[in-house]
Amino acid sequence: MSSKNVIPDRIAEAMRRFPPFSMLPFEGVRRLAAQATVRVLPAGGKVWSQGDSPGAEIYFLARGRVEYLWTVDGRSERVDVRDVGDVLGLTAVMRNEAFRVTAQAAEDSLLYTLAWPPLRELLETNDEARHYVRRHQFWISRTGMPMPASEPVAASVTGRTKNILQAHLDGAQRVEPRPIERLLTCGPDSSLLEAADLMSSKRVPSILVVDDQRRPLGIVTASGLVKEVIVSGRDKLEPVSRVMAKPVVTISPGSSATAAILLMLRERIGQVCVTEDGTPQGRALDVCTHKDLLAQSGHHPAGLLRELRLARTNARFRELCDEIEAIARSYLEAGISAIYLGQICAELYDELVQRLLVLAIDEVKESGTPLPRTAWAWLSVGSDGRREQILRTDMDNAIVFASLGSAEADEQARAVFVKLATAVIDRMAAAGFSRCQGGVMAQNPRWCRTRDEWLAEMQSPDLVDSADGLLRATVLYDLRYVAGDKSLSDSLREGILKSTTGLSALQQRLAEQVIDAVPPLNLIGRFVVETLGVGSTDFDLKSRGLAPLRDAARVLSMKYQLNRRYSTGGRWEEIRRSLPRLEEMAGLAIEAYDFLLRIRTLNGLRRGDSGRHLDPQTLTKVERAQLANAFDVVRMVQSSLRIEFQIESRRL
Amino acid sequence: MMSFPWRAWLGLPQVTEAGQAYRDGTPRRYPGKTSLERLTFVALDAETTGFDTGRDRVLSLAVAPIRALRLELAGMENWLVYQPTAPLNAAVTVHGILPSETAAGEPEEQVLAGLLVALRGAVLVGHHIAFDVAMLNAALERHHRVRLRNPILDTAVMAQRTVEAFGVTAYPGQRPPSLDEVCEHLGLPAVERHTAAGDAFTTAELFLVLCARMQRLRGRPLVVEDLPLERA
Repeated sequence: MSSKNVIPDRIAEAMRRFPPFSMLPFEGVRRLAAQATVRVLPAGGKVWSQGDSPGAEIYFLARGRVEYLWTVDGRSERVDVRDVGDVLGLTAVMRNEAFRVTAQAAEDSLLYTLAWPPLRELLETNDEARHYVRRHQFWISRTGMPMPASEPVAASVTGRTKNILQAHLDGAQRVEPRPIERLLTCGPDSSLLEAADLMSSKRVPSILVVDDQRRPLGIVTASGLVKEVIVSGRDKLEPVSRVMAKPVVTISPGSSATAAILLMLRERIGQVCVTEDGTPQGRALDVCTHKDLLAQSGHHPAGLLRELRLARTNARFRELCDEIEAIARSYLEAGISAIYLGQICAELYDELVQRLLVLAIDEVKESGTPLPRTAWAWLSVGSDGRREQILRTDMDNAIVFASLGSAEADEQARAVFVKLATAVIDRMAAAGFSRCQGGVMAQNPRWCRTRDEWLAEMQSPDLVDSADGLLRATVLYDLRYVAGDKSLSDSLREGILKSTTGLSALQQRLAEQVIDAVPPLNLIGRFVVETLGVGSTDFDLKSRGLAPLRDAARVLSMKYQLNRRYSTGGRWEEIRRSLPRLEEMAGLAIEAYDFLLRIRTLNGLRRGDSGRHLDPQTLTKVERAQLANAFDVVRMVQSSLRIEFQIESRRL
Repeated sequence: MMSFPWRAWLGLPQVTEAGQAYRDGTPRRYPGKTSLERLTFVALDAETTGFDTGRDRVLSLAVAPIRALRLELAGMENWLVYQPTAPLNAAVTVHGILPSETAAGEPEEQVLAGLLVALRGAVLVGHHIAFDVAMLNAALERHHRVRLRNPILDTAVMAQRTVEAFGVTAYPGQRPPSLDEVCEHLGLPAVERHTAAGDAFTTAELFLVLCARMQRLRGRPLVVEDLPLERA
């Protein structure tokens, strides 16, 4: 009797802007919408309480924000935030078990209640939507539930998910046999002694036993010789055919290096033989150990480390650095912690700098100026020092050297070290690093000083009063040894740590800096984007989020003399272990910092810059919610710092 | 306007069966302490040929029922009314119903009978509802010899009471806020504006949002006396 109602169409259209509804057919969503009920929950109202049994319905959040609160041991922890477009209650309904968390409206929220049975039917017939739903149940792991095994999806929904194996396979290279002269072989009648002699003279861990057509018959390895000759006491003159391992596992040239490694792991062997046709009946071409393959499998940091040690030309360094960046990207997309990734990249970049120093020292010597006869060390400072420089968008380094006794001698030495630093930094720039905008580089005489000059500076009374002094103190505080004389660098670090722990005025100023940074959230926890600057919709991820967390960790470790760790993540970890009252906050801070660093780096890779300015529109819904959470942690850290350092609330 | 014995006495047409059922099932007021959860609200919107309650006619009509403070989409009804003499006037540009389209509608009497069923025992909710009530009363009088008797709630008045931005001031030119203004202020997306179904749905959502706001401000579940109800 009524004419067609178009409202369900409109609701279905609104819902289909968000996954998983975007992956379901319109007609199905329309049917769901036609049976929906709409309710509005005032802020503070509960959609459900922890322990409630789920009904046969789920909720679509059309407006507002809902928080998941997990109550454990009488304390309530916010584990997740849902905002517009999110589905609520799906996990409990799918598993048909009581709600693990309380869902409470953080602001007035408009909810569409949808019947579960028809939705379940829709999900059952739509693989993509079902996979999406499964994958987005990740947050439940925090409430102690087992993580559901994710099913691999052919076309990933967001295009960002990748597992670490895929990341490796994507960049994996193929096995290329080396020149045939390198292949070490012997006949089946050769004696064990002859074989061992060949192996040790060629410094190869195995020898291939071949017939007269060079077809592999077996393989004799160093460990096999130890077992047979030394342990079992076999005679050294017996033929190798008695002890060789057979049959030989073979691959064809051009097969995937990663697949070959997996094959070796599965067969529990240390080397594979490459033959012309990939079978034991073909002629042998090469024998690869897993070390050879690891280096060849590309996209593996171990391989790059080796390549860095061998490289000579700027073009090659650039290529390798591009490769490091590619690895960083694939690891981040595979979900690895940005803090760990920072450590991996720091190892690689340290290796790079060490290699460049070797080349630069030769260069300087060849040009006729010998290095001063004094101890010196190359230091990483600032973000480099904290092992957080994943991209090549900045470099922060310094040189320290032991004083030669007189000011003139020191000046002369400085001139040589600056020359050395210039050579290194020029090569770094050629490899794709941006020079530090703040001039924090060893080629700058201000960052190339003797140990005593550094310490005198750190103890000078006007350090605290100038913004420049404060910045230098914080940058230098994060120093880390890279190359040269380690004991010199250690004694400098100790001296700096000693002088800063005594400086409560410095700590006070640093703590104030942390508190002055305002997280980009308004009072109800929504993003407020920067109003000034180039991209008007962007906001500054670094100054609003990363910097306060980083500085808070630094100033807390100064105050409590927690000096064993260098990175921000490590410092929070140390704070967590040593200061029980800050334990919870420090744990959250690690997660928040890790998340922010990851988002920043991915953003930087996407935009080809340092990634500090972020457009929230480019994030997925889940990431946006996590980001809001991270900024909440920043607030929490700020208020706790206010108490720690007794800073008056809200200075202007 | 309870019953009209003089109608029978004068030989005028009597209240229809639908009208009588509506009258019997619809209280004029509810006790002040009744929880809103226990009431049925019906959000209503009518699209008309103009603003003259005497001459203009209802072209389409939609209701959205709210039970236990939940808007039920399945219960929404939406009628297109057959108006043989619908004029092609300025109002068409607002609601977009062409005279030819009303031919696909149902007879007015039948639509009103359906409406009386939907409104039985409910509180009537609408934005600037007084106008819709006047239009409907004229039509109901013509066909069913009844007038609306539901308690009436105007969301414009409710917004003035609950949203500070629309609060009543001493400013003489102030007028109650329009549906668009309130929705925009509260960040509520207006769905299918200027169709009866869209406006009824939007009004129902607005009512729920205003209730939630009121509840948050008062810090307790709402009861009837919290609402600015008016008598029809």
